[in-house]
Amino acid sequence: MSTDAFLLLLALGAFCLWATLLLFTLIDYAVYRGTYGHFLSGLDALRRHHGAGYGAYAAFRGHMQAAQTRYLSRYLARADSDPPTARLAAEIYIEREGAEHMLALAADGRRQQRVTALYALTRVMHRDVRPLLQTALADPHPLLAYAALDMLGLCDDTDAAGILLRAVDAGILPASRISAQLERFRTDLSALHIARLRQGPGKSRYWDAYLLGKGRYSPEAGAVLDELLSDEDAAVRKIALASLAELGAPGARERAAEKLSDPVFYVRTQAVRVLTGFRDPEAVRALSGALADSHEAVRLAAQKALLSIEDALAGSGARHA
Amino acid sequence: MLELADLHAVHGVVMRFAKLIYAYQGLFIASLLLVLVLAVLYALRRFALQSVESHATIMGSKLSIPVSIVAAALNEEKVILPAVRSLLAQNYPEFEVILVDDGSTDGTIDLLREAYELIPLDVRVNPALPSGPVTAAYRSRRDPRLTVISKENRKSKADALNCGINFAHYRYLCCVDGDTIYSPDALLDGMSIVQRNPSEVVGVTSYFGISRTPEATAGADGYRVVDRHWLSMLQNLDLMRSFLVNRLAFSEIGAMMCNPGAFAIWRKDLFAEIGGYDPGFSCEDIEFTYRVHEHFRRLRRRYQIAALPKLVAMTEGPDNVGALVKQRARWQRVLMETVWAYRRMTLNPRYGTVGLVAMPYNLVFEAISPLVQLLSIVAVAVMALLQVIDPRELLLLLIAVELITSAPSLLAILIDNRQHRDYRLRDILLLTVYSLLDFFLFKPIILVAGLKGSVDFLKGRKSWDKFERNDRRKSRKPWHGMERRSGKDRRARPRWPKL
Repeated sequence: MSTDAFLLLLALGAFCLWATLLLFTLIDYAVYRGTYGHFLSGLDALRRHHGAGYGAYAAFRGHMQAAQTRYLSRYLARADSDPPTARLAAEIYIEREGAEHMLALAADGRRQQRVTALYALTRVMHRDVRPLLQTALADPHPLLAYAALDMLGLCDDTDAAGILLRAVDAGILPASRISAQLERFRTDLSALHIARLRQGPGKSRYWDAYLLGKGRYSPEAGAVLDELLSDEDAAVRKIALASLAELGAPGARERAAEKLSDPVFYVRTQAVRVLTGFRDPEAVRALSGALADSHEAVRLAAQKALLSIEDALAGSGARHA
Repeated sequence: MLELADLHAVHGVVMRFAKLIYAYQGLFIASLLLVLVLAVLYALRRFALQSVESHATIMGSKLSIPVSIVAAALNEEKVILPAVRSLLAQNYPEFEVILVDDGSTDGTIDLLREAYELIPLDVRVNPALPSGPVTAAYRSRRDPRLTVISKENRKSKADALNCGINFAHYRYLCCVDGDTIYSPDALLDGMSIVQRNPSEVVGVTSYFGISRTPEATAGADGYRVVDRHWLSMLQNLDLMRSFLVNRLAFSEIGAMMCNPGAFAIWRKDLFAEIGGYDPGFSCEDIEFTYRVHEHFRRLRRRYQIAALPKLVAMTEGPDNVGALVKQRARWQRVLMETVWAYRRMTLNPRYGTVGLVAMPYNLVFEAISPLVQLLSIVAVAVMALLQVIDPRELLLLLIAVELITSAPSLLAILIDNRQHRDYRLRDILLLTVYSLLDFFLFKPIILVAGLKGSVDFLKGRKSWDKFERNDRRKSRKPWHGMERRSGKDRRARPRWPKL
């Protein structure tokens, strides 16, 4: 092969490589532009560049208004979507589809349509959405029931909490999943839990005691939990002790020390855990007594607790070496 | 006058030399194609992995590995506040920022003291790595995650980083520059690959862009703001080629040879095993990466130094040719120093792909490349002068070389756009045009810088040659094309008075 032909071939090959790469880039750019991924990456880029504030709101709104309706519905009906932008998507989606149509779909649409419509109405906090969510929560299909559970979690008010606690009582969905949603609430639900616990030994008192521990301390909460320490159910006694400690109730250490003589070993183990947090001579004395407990789990927990207290006291002098 | 016999002799020498040059260029083209293939393979695997990596899981997990960010700054008053702000704004569960002020003589420390309410810190450290004496340590009252260390300047960034590492608490270090603006997810992106396999991943880096004013790159509409100054565009393309093609390709074969100082995540125990950054070299990052490779390969331990195709930061690049030559001359000098210092690894099968592929590649296509390029130009010029090369052949050769050398730029644009999806079409097209101009505009500058760096290496120069920060008095905004004026505006433009 002559040099001339070789160089011609080389130049042609180089051009083919170059043109292929350019074509790939342009096709990739063009194809991606209309996809849901492009919609999401646009949102990410706006979030990165704007942060918070009105500028961001205006930019997000513009982005949503330019987006296709199917992408809006897909975005707003995802549990992991960012709440402020999902609310914007819901507003624009309802503007396009009409609120009456949305309500009709939420009541008797097909399953996925119901989920989308319910999400849209929940994100804008529509006044008629709660009864629809309550019905959806009791739906036998898990897709709808769990979506309703998530949406009630988004509502974050006492009414929604009431619906969720009634669902715990009725055993519609696993109580742990409902409790996880209730833990997300910023609204203080202590009064609701206290009222339910005062009504008598309800079926769900374990969860009420647990959730009461996640709220703020009040003397009423302390008194109710104190009463539960003598409940006949050992699990309730255990969770009441944990909640008392979590609330920082005065007298929690004394209660924990008393519970070291509880007949059930896991209540005693919980008492050891609570005492570990105090790290004072009285707690150490009580824990030393637990080293002679009849149950191995309690003895082990006490050993670990004493060691961790020792470590913490030794390490408090120097932060870094 | 030259006799005919002399001319024949010259002709023979030139032709023999031309064959050598052709062989070198052929080898270069073959290696370039291989690099492209490897980069594509690695990028495809990264994209697949990224689709299942969850940032939310890392953010929400109590088991996420905490990181100490160590930054060195010397006379950075123009960018220090936005840089520190970007570091403290990282979306990461637990981290601390240790900023080492390496004896700045401008207002760097005063600005920090005022902005972050620094209070003196009485802290004992274990001086595991040798470094210059610390003159003061501060903790921010506004953000306790920020610790500022002032130390005496010893004309070495390695020394400053070693000092900062002595103060670090956490198991992983992220060594960064004090003049670079980091994206909020930089640490999360970098650590996501570590969290997957902390026992093997000892180092991570990722891609960063260039702008004349990195603190002013926020786009109003979600698209990336590309600094359209010609020099910034060309530097950006060069970094894209380096990070999104070369580093990815060498990561694919486990021989990524430079974890750059602007964003280098390292496992801290390495510094205990092999010592800190070496102030004896003009630049610390490339030497340390070589040392890590040598250490692990010699002990036959499994390890990984990974490069990611994610844009994690924007750094300031020179805005004039003189400063660029100065910077790139230092890079060339550092490369030559390191390749020379670790020459024992070259072609040594004990070091696996590092010894057999990466070291020869760095030697042949990086370290001596400026010299070979210069000789190629001279050879082609002499051949044209002696009329032993046909102008048509010369043109074909030029076209082929031009297109082949711009192919990595195009692949880099493709990977970058595929990764971030925040380019405007016109920026993609503009970058494509610059990828063609690169051969005529950027390569000559790099050639001059490479030759200067090689001469400096031979002279044994060791200085840092930090370029002056760009002028910000005009609060310059990225260039968005020619300003459109109506005919009326043009007519109303003030004219010089006639004399």
